[in-house]
Amino acid sequence: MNESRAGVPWTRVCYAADAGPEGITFVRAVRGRGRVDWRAVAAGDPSLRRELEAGIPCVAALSCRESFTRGLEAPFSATQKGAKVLPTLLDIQLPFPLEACVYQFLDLRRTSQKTTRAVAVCARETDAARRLALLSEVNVDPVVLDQEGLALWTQSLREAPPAAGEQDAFRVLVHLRAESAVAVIGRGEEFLGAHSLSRDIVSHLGRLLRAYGPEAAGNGAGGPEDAAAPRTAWFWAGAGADRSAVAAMQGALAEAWPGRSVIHDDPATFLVRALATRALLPGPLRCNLRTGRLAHPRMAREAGRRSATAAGFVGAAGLVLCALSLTAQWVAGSRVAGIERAFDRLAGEMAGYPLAAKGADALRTVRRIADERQDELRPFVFSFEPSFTRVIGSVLETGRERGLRYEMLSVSREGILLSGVAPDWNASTALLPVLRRAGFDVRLDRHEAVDDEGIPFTITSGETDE
Amino acid sequence: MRSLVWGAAAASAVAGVWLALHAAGAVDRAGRELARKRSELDELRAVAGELARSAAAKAVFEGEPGRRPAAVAALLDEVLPGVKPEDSRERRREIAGGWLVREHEFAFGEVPLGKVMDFAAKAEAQRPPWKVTKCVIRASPHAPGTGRVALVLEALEKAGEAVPGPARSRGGT
Repeated sequence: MNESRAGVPWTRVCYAADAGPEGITFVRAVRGRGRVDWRAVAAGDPSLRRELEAGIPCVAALSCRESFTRGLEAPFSATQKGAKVLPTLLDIQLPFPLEACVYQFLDLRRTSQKTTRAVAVCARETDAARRLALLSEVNVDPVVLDQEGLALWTQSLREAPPAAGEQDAFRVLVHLRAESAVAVIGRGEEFLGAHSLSRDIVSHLGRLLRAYGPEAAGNGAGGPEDAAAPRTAWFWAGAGADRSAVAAMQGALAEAWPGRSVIHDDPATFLVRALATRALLPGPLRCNLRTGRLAHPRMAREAGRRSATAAGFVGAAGLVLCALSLTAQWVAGSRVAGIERAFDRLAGEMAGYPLAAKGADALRTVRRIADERQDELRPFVFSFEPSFTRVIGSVLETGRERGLRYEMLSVSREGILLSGVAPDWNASTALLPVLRRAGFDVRLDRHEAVDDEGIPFTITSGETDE
Repeated sequence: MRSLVWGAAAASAVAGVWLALHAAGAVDRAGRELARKRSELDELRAVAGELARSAAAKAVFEGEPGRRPAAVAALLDEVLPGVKPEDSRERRREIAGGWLVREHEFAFGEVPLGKVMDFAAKAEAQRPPWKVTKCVIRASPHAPGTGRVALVLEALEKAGEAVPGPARSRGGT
């Protein structure tokens, strides 16, 4: 089921009221950490009046006698398109004009048959107005008019989720009052319908369940092989759900619809808890039938306030985005300017005067000036470079070790030229690491032996005068 | 009123998005410019570093003003007594900062190569040093270890302030 929100999200505290034949029941509910804590409050409690007058919202519900739910299916796979025809589909099912009703479509979803399914919740506007007038007599002006059947269903699922193996089983919640009862029927977690029951609850329930098809029709109708399987889970709530009454009804129903039977905790306040929970927490099948002309002015005010808050957030986000964008541009610009300043300062220092040229042009100018200075300083630098005498000493030493006969050796800043004769093909290669260590990028050329005198070789690097 | 509030919010959001897009482009361009300028600055720093190293080399010489390179002819007499170079030339050229580059070129006939290298090493061990800038050896085909040698030595001297200093060796020789 889709999550929706139709309660009082602006507050953490609310009252829920249920006016029945037993009198009016209140609970005070507080939202905290994803759950709702509640306590029953007597109608005459002075704190109730005080808090209601102080603006703590109150929620109530239309009973299943005053309202109804319908499952609708529109022949469109696009939910937006399907939603447009739902009022027409609802209208043709009603014995009175839809314009005289307050209604909502809940849990819109696409089905595997490419249709859009929804739960319609509807009441005649006069019935809703009558309920509001009734509540007004006891000084209650609810901001939300929920629907009894939906509230009972979602609260039952919240307090007692389907057990293992009950995902496809029928689930029946019977809410018993002193003089009336409501049955809410579903399969697993899917809501199917809510019905007000007559005085003969057991036979009415039997008719209802059989109307939901052969699977809910009781033992014998679904086939002999699964006749004993528990296919119905029974839940009981309401002021009339005491053990003896439930046992009697369950006993009468168990033969045809076997299954576990559970009485919800604190059954008398079950409906008001449901209303408070739905008002304070988001969840499936939330609704408010106090719409249109009946809409509570507070809801409009709160909607306006939430809209203004949302607009404020959007505006603030825009302003933050503006500020961040401008800051990012300023930071980027100042970093570029910082590098430029450092470059200009260094270039000016190196040139000896402020340079008008920028970037690559300035770099070229500075490089030319630096090259001129390097030429002047080269003799000083050369004094600290490795000595040629050491290179020559190493060459002569290697020659003695490898039996090389040198003919000519020329070493200068421009490069090296070394020629001679080696006793074998590889002997002259011993010179290469010696010369490379001294910083020369050398090349060895060897030739075929002439008259068995040895292998003539030449080592060169760069350019030499010889 | 609600439409006014939402209008202002929407205007702010649109301005924010527009500025963000504009800033994204500007920051991207600035990033590229920054990379280029940083590369230029790095290049400039490399040139400056190179120049600084060269200036540091000069500063070492500047730190010992008044010193003159040792008399190279005397060193030659000391290491190769009786050997007269076939040719001997001395040149001087002025460089910046009032410094002179003195250059001695020797051409020896058939001489023991080891002795010539000893002479060169001794000259390089002086302070301020002589430095071999060029050496050409043609080995004698008849007498191993001997040959004809052309040797060029170079030293730096501060012009004008030169005070004759003792020939001082660095290697303790």
